[in-house]
Amino acid sequence: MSQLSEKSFVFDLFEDMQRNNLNYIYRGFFTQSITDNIILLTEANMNSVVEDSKIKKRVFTILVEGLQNVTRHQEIDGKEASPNQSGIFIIQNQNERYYITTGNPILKANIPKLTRQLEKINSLSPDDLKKFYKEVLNDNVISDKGGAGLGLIEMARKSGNKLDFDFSEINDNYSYFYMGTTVLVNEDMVADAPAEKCSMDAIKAIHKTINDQDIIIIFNGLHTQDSLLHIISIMEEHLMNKDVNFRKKMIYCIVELLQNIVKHGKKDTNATKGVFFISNSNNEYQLNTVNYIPNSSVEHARTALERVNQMSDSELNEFYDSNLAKDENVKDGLGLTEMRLRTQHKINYLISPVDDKTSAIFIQVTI
Amino acid sequence: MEAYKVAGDAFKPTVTLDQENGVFAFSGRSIPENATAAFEPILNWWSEYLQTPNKETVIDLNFDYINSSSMKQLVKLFGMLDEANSKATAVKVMWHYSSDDTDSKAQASRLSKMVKFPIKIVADTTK
Repeated sequence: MSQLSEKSFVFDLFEDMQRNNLNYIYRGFFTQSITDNIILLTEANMNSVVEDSKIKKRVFTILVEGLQNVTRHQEIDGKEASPNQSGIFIIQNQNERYYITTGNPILKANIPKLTRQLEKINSLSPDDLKKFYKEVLNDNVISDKGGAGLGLIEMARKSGNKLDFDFSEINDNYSYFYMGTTVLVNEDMVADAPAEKCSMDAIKAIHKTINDQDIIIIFNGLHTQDSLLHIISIMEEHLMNKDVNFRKKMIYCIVELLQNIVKHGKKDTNATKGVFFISNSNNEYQLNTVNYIPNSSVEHARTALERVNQMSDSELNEFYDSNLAKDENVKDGLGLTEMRLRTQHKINYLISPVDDKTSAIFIQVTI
Repeated sequence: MEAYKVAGDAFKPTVTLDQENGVFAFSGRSIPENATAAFEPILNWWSEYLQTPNKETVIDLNFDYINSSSMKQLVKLFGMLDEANSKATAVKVMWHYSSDDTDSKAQASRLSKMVKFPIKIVADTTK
């Protein structure tokens, strides 16, 4: 349990994700299929918030361009970047605005040129930006990575806001490049209204946490069937090289954990708030959830978790069978038992009181 | 009786229940949040079928993923089948699984201990 106490960072992470309204973070190698699913996942999430199809299109364009930037530049010296240098994608939805951050390593030598490009783009009015777009298009100056800064111009045009950017050093040759793009959900909003967006510093701090904790993916928000589906697709792609048994165990546990949040989590209006994240350390994957539960459920949760953790294999099997045959399927611990049986690991958990009504619960399944 | 046919999607399985042609098949994923609701029409179909069943009822199950609450519904169905088995109809379940998916195989053996009718576990290499 001493190791588990080090895990209390999860509650800070959970709070950070809530406070900054971060919906989704993916960190790792970006493939076509992963970016496709990120786009679908965002779409599913956006459909419940945004109605204006023009705004949706803008967000898509920015997503596509931003993700392509990461895909193009995620290599270091022609090799896949090491984990703490791999690409990152973050989407935040707060106060009628989407804020999309992408990050990837770049050669330090390219920083001045990129900075000039971005500063030029940021200095232009919408009309001038349009002209500049045509200019660059006609010039046909393609960088060796296939882009000509066109993507950046397109992102700035769709955003209607300045592109935020920042660099942070990785080593002698490389820096990490962050770029943030804003899309206002309501066009009438003054673009330069005091931004309550996540600052680059907050993004960098979260990025550091997820690097330190080897987190691959974080999903925060409404846990719906659609989001579950896209998480499954992303993970299937991510695990392509693993054997089928391992992949299936993962997917089973993802399904059970997410449905567990929906079933037991504290409902805020109609939705269940919760964070789901996957980390990968010591050659094992950890599936983690953090969500609120009412204090009145704390004892029940603790009892259910302790019960499955203390049971032997044969007891687990017996418990599982008898539960399967029971008629009612509310709060029976079937999902927990299934995960224990499949993973052959105890289920880690921590419960932390928030106030006199609510506690936060962290559940970790190791595969 | 009227056949029950539903095309599956990412959450629910493709189901064909056709008494006339003797086809009873489930395939794909079954991971709905509310499995009770998802299985309700299926269980209703079965309870009607079991009143005047065919002499033989061979059911093909080919699940890719099945969540624990769907398993529960499946056990409910198996209970109904077990009761009818050898009285009104001879029940047999063919459990198909991808040959390297040992967890699915284990799931089938678990189920077969709970019922009296035979569950044949078939390893498919093509899946």
